[in-house]
Amino acid sequence: MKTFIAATVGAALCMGITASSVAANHAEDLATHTCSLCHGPKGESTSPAFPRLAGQNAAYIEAQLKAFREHTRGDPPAQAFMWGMTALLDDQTIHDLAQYYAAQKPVPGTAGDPALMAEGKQIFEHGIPDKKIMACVTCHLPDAQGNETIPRLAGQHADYIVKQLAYFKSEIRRDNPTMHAAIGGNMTLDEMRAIAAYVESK
Amino acid sequence: MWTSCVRARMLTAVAAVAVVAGSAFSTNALAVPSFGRQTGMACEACHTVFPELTPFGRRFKLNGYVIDNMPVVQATDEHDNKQLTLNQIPPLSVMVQASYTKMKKSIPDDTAGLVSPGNAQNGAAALPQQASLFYAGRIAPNLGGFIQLTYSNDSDGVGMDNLDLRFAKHFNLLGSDTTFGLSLNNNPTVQDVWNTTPAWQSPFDQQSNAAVAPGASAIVDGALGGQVAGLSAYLWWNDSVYAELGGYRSARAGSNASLFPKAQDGSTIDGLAPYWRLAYEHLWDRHSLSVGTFGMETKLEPGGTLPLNGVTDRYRDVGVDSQYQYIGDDNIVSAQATYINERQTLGATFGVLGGASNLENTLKTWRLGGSYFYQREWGGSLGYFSTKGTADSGLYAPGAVTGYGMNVPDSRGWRAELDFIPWENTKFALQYVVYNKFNGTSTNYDGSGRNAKDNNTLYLLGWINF
Repeated sequence: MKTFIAATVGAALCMGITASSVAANHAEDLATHTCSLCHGPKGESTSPAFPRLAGQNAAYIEAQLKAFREHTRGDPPAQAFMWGMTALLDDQTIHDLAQYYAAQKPVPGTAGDPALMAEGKQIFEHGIPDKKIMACVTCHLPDAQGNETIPRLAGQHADYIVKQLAYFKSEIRRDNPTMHAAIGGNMTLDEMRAIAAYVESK
Repeated sequence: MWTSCVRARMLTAVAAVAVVAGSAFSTNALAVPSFGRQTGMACEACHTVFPELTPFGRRFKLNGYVIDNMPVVQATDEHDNKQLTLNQIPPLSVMVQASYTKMKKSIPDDTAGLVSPGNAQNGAAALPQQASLFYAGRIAPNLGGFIQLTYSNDSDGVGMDNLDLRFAKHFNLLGSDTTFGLSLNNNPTVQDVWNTTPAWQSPFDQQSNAAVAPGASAIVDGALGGQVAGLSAYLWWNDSVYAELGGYRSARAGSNASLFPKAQDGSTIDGLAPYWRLAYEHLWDRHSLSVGTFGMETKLEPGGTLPLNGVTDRYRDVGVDSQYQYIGDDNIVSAQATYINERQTLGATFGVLGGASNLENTLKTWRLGGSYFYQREWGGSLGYFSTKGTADSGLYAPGAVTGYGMNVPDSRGWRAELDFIPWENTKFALQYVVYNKFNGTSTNYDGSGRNAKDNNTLYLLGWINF
């Protein structure tokens, strides 16, 4: 009897391990054969229409995928692409996808126009007090690596960053009210471009 | 494609009707909300402006149309292998096209074989020009299909239009992800993913089927659409290199269950016609650039009074193509170039039937085009086309409107289009075609006093997919 129980428990444990690895394989399969069509083989997308996911914080990816699935993030590309892609993702798969991308090596920064990067660095580190624009570093940390649900910005496509800042400013993106408050309604397109150039270079 | 594509130089009498009743070009339609229903993604994911594909659209097709984000009925075996993946809601969709065509000068009254006495009329309205029903999407775990049934006004019937069944699977080759795929289809190049090959050429994928069009075109350039069955295998390696090899075959005339009744129209393939395709694509930033080559060697049995398995006409087609796309948030630019060289050895038509004056002829086709769209709402296209070939008094005989007064197949001209896309699934196009040369010359091209510019065509198209 003991042998039978041990065998049963052992089998159950094995099945548990197997189920977990199957789930992780499913996420990796999704990432490498479906997500990769836009986001690149390991989350290193070439087009700035699609954000780089390699090395992104897992908690942030998880939150975004859930926001797409629940339709709480509804900027135009989110609606056109991600609402559909996340429609059937369960929490476990979302978790595994997030872990997969977080484990990939981030794309190294790409330097842009020096003057633009310098202006961006200034705003990133000190904000624009006159306009009540907060310093990005407060949340995104000195190397723009972010933390938990605060996204990594380092190495991200500058165009993508500009677009997201514009969405937060105009409240097309309402999934993070803090961001709208942080940049206020006064940040200009040039300032957005400067910040984007700086973080892309990190 | 469902419209007739019978070759003018093979059977002039048949072609004379086909050129007017149908188009010498294919009139395909790719945009299918079926895929939107299955993936939950908007048209813009796969199309710049339909039917031209984006890089993602190309990869969706290469992967067998199987990306699926909607509820499915599924079954797996004890080893977690998928045995069934069936969309709970079938990915169906409908396309309707309405059009208006006006030629600069109407076809003369009482043109033999074209217009009965007293029936000349210009300004043709078509509602619909085509109406299609699609099933497009996943069929099984690694199998997808694009299946289009079309009613077209020129045939006044419903028939099989584009058919492309695909199987795709991934594996690792030389350290890079590779897609292996199979396509079973009914039109050479309908399986292709770049909009430079004949079946899905862009711009100007839609053209009037009510205007006179140049008669000569290469076999791979749409002549076999809907009349053949082809199976090809492809590899898509490292997200950049594409190689495909396949073959096409007709149903035999007289077979007791012909799937392709039109095969007896004079274009029955002898044996298997090999088809090949190589392409390279590079993506950077928001740009993509592809260069490629494709070709087909076809032996056709002319049928009619000649027995099958006898002497044939051989067509060796080699194409070279390139496409560039820039897909920005507001601005979309694309350019396409296609060149097709055809070498004909007309063993049957020249040697036995006496319908050609040369055993060997060539036909060279150029198409260059570019388009611009602003916010996927407003846009336009401009293109140049040219066909040049060997003079042949048998193939290219004089005849009112559709004939060749100088026995030369040459045609060239410009095509321009303005587009308004109020919604992603709806397009209005205003197109104008200018012929500098038509079926040989610019003046009196048919030997009956008609000039090339008389065939200049205004075409207004309304096209909706839902």
